[in-house]
Amino acid sequence: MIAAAVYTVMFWALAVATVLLALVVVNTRKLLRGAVALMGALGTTAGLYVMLDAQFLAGVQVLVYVGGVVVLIVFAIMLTRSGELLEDHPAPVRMFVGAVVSIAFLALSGGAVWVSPFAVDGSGKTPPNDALSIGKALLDTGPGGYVAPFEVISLLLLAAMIGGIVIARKTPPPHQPFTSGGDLPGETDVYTPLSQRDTEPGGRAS
Amino acid sequence: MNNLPALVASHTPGVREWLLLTSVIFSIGLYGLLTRRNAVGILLAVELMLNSAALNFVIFNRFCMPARVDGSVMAIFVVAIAAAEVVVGMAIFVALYRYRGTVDVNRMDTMKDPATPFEGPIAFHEGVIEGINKQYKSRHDH
Repeated sequence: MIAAAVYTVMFWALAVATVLLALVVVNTRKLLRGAVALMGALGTTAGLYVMLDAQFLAGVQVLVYVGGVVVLIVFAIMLTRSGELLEDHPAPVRMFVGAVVSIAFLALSGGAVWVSPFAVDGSGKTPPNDALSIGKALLDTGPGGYVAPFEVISLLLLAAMIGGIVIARKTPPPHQPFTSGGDLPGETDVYTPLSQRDTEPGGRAS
Repeated sequence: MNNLPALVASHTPGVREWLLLTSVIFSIGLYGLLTRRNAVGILLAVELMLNSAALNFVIFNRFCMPARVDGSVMAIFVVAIAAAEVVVGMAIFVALYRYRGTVDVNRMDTMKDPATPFEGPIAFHEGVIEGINKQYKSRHDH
């Protein structure tokens, strides 16, 4: 009974924390703060995974999401200089539409969840949560196995990686020599030899 | 006071409470997706939505099919897709920032029919602006 009480309290604590952090993610004007709040929300989600007896997934969540995806997002914020600027508040009509759509979606899906009868398995079993059974399911070639999606995901990750490199690579403008930077807007306009420049690349005074 | 643990334990979350939680997180992500102006902010909201969807798979696995691991496997696929999506999204935003000087999605209107002659930001390739203005002239001169 004590265990069930602790479980309940932990569920509600993690749920409230996740929702509050998610609200910070979508509402803050400082994107870097939003990224940190997203890190917190993903961390509390890892706690929820543990409560669902999916310990392996909790580890994956912390390693891939908190350690990898959020770092990539911070890179994106830094490279686009979004962290230096306060984001404008969205237009009131846009906020109104967003709130209406999201609340309508919440009412619809929440209502559907609440009235649907789910085939809950009452046997009290918990899913096998070790990496062994998940790995066996991923590499199972028999019926119900996931080896084909696994291979497709591998290809997708490879394609995404190469595509990311190709898209973000510095390319010189057509018919112009490759400039030193290429990072800053304005530099791709006209090529000025370095010896004739009186300002830093991008027009900032030196 | 003695029966407080029993009272709390009688409210142990079932599948409905869990699914309601993921619905709330998904709705918050949807709100962010619709209201953010910065493209990276939209990426943050999409991450929230993907996260709640992966959580849903695990919830159904735990409550409705506890003998198997299909929900966990699907959640791993969702995590992998999210990682790929972030990589490509970041690359696109960095390239976009390099050419336009902004990642504000309200200003990503290059493919629109230009209603007015287009001055363009400073960072466009040479020739792109002339091309757009030529297109504008050919549509509106006759």
